[in-house]
Amino acid sequence: MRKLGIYIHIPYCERKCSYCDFLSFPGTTRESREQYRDAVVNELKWWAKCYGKEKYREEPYTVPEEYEVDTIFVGGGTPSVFESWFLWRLVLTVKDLFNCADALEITAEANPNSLTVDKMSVWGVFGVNRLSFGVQSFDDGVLETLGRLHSAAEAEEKFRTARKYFFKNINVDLMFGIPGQTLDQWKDTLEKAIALDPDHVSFYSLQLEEGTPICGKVKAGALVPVSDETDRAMYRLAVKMLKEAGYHHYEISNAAKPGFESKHNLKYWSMDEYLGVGLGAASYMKAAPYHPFVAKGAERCDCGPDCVSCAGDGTVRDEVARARIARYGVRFSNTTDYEFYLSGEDPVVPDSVHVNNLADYVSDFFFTGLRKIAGVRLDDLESAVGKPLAELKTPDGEPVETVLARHVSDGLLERDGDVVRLTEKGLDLANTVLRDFV
Amino acid sequence: MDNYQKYIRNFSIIAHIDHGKSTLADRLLEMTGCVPEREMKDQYLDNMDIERERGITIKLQTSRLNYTAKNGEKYIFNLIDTPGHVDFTYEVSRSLAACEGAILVVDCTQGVEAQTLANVYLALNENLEIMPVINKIDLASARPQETKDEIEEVIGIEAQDAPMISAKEGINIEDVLEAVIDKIPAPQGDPAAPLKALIFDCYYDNYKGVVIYTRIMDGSVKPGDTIRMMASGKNYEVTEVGYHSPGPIPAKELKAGEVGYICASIKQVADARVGDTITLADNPTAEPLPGYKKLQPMVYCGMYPTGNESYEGVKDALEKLQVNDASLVFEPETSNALGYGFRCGFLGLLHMEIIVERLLREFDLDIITTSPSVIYKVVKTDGTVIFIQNPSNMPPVNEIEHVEEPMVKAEIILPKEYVGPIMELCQRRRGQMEPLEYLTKDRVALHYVMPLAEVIYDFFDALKSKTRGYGSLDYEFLRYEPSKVVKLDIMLNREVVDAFSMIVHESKAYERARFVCEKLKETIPMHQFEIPVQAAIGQKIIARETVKAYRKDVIAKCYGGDISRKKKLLEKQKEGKKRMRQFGVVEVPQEAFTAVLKYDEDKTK
Repeated sequence: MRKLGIYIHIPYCERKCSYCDFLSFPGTTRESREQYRDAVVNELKWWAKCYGKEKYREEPYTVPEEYEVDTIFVGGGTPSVFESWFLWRLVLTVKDLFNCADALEITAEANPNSLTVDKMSVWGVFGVNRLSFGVQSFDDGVLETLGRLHSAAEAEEKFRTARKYFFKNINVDLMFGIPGQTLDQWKDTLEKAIALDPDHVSFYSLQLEEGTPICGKVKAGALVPVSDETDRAMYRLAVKMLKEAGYHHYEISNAAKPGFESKHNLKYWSMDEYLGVGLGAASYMKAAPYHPFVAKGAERCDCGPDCVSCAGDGTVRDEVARARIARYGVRFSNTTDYEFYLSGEDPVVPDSVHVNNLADYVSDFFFTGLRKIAGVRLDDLESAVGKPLAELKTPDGEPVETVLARHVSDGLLERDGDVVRLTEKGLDLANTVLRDFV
Repeated sequence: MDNYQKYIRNFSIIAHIDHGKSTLADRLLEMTGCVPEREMKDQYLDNMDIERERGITIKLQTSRLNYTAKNGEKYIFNLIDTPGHVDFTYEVSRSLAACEGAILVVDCTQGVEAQTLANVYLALNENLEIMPVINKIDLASARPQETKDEIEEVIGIEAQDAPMISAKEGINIEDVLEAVIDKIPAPQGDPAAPLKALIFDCYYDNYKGVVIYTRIMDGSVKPGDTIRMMASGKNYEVTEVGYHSPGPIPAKELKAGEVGYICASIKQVADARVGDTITLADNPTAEPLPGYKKLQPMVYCGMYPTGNESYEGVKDALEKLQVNDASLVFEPETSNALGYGFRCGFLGLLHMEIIVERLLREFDLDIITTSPSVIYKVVKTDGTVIFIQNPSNMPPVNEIEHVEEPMVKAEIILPKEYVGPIMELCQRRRGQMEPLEYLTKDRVALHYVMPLAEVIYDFFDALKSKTRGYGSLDYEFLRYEPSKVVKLDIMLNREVVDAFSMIVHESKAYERARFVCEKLKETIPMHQFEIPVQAAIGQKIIARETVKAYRKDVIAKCYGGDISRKKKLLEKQKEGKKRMRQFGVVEVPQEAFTAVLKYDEDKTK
């Protein structure tokens, strides 16, 4: 049985945070959220024809492979803004339509202000067993800069309640490198977070995204960004303090108590399959049904005259497309048009589809895999693509070996037999390496 | 038939920029049925895109108009357009030499302006009859009478019965046509004399070879004749003659007093030099026409293909442009930093900009240009003299006895209220002032001896902006003068990048060095290591900046939905890097080369 992670996108918030450029809307009505729930249920039903339990499978959509869902991740937006009964319905639908593993990891994201005790209890009942808690900072000034709606004290109180009564596995999201934030403030936040003893900590350097209010303020000079030096000092401090507190630093921005690494998120970094449902959600699958969307992906494929999926004449050969998907996978993502999604006219006409070729697979393998502190195993790559490393090239046509050797020599990568990972310096300058793989 | 010249009028239109020269030309073409109205693009005569965009005429256009006058007689008008920039003064003077008269267009909301005067002087130099026309009478702020008085006072020509028109609205255009007949003299060539014809322009046609624009002064020419270019001494057999209306129309012959074109299987425009005299090989005229000058490039710069372009591609394009532009010269050159390229010579900075822009637009080429330079005369300690137009060729300091730089005599005509700022400007540009001259109570002519290097460097633009367009400039080469110029080298990561080297006056070296270092710091992206950017004269570092090493280049969040998006982001960054030039371990983006050229001395003050 193949393992499958399901991501469910909840595109709602109480208010947009000042740094956020994700797909989410504040101020929707209960009615529209109900419609959204039904649209997601519809979408899940459609995918069940392909990947679901035997009884829901349907020709010509079904694929030969059997799947078992072992992680569900409810993200957003802010799932805690969504009615908990609606969410329950979605999770129940997944459990009903798909084979599910006994040890099913179900994560839901929540914000301190919208996660009421009532919601916690409902979530706990229908099986959310991992809470991802958006604390961001334990400094009220910093929280204000970020445009958050909660105070540090509120976050702490909610955490304690969640921990005491409902969730054994809690992640805390923290942010650093926020304009105006000092190293001491960050240290204080880390100390307070560690004192709460979460099982998992994500610590993100603030990314100034074009078009967000905080980015606008920085450009206008109203906020002074922290220097790269400070940002890196903050990062190193976090790694150091978390390690000392017994956490395992396993991805660029993630650390966990041993055994508490996010099973779902690790899929993203390990070329494992995940199906995204809901507005704008992205998927990566290694088996796909025949459906117009495969055709769409194959048509768009621009891998040149050797393209196995489009037979060189624009027509799609289903069997070759399937063969290529089975080997290298297909990436696709849903429409980002809210009204269209709600209308449920066609739950599965993706916005974009890309059938990977060999170079794409190599590219994705390093682009995602090197984010893991443990790095990647080159024999995993070789067996996945069925070719020796010496024959593999980046999308630019440069031999992978050459790129690896170059970054070993500039100190950004280290190679230990079959394992390649970023060095400490490489963690700060990962893009320098990753750019060579895209 | 004997008195056919009675019905010919050869004239130009001269005006200050924006006073309506091209619009009037369009109306004349339209009124005489030369161009059907529906084919009229705005300003037909300015037919290069660059010209229309910049509102200036670079390449001449000439057209024959047929006009039936009110007296019932049929006339032939030859309208000869003139380019409008100081880089092309010589071409203007040759075009004017082909005429008997000039229509002086004056915008009566603005009055007489500096450039009006400069053009009038050029026309008077060629003994042309000046016929004023008062334009834009339809505007609310029109002051036609004042303008007439001003023309009389400032220029000293009769203006009371000047046609009052609106070229834009097409008002009273006929008056202009009638006045041309009355005011502008008919040509008085001798059709029986040996051929004497002036080349005032030419262009290259893929089928006909070089097409010469000519004014026949004496004699006649027809297909089959063997013509001789008097300056170059070369002979050619005429294959076609005719005139433009505005498209070419072949004719049996061209004779004294007429304006038209000659084709003679000439391979490149350099063989048909503007100002040269054409005569018949077997019956030559005794004396060539006066005023011929071989144009010398004044400004040089390096041009290099960027990463994606080929050397051959740039060479082809330059050759094609040269076929049509005799004042463009180029030769192969190698730069340590930029590889194989060309050193190109231009009449001035505008000319250079136009060529670069045409390479970009018409040939779709991506090129890097180096700092423009004039030709320096270097007297070496061993007594030999060399001329340098590429800073890289400057000998080591210990081999130089002294360096001389080209000086020009510059005349600036401007309203007196701008004298202060312009004197300051000239002083900053190392100008030596000579006695100024009051042309009228409001108009002043400033005379300066100035280094050419200072004049080419955006001086014209600075003058225009400081005088709100009222100042005009003319300059000509005077002599070489000893000068304390130094070679400024730019080092990236302690290695000299020859493409950035420049020759500057000692007194400007620091300022310029600082500017270049700052610009490079701004445009060179952070690397994995620190990059010192230094400017040096010889061994001495006179300015320094540092491009900091980046400490952080990492995507903090990358989950399922981010993968494609973040990959695209890195792909885009990578594309940007591909367009950079690699100097040792330093990557320099193309913008850096343009940025260091954009030195605005007057803004940095």
